Amino acid sequence: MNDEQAYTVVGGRGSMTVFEIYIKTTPERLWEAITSEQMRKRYSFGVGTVSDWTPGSEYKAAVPGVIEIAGGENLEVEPPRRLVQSFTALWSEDVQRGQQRALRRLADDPLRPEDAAGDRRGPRHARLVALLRRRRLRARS
Amino acid sequence: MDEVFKALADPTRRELLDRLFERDGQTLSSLEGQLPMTRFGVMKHLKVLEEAGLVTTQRRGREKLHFLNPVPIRLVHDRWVSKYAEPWASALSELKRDIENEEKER
Repeated sequence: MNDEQAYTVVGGRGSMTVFEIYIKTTPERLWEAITSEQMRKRYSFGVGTVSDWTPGSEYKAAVPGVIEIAGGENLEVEPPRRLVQSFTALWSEDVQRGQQRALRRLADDPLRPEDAAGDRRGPRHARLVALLRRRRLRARS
Repeated sequence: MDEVFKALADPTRRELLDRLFERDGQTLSSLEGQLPMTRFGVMKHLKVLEEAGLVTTQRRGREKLHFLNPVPIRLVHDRWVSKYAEPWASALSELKRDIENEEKER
């Protein structure tokens, strides 16, 4: 399923933001950190993400009873390499206006530096790439 | 902004900022004791940091105290990290810190 199939773009062109970080760990541990409720709580402001992480499942990120941060669907789940999610920001009216719905593509690409020619970042680093595509969306057609 | 990048391009000066980040408001003598370098060398580096606005000083009696000024670094941040990107960049930075600290504890 590609983005166009999943969503109808209402207007304007989507813009994309890319985030990349190298973390001194294994791809497996990185995946665990991304998908475990406890780990996520620690790095995202006490926000836990609940999901069973199967393809097509829903997820919700929230501080229970306090605030809902985001929600969406796990579109592609291929541990420990790839996680594609639809992403709807829920944390403030500000982000909900206009570009409130975004497709979040969180590609965990554990490219080991030793596998990448010319990369001298040292051993045992996993690379995390998060692609964030902003779209103005209408409900799934 | 040129001065900020020039000041940060030197490992000794980054080390000095690390020391002030750990404990703010130190004298030249105190900083000198933590680096394998002459008093004159440390003084020179502090001067570059001061000119870049990364270090500010305050007098306390006869002592001159050095403080890390985070504002120029924040200006660099704000130039290229949008409000929209900030939470994401921050989350990834925290993720890295948490995972790497955990690995160290093992």
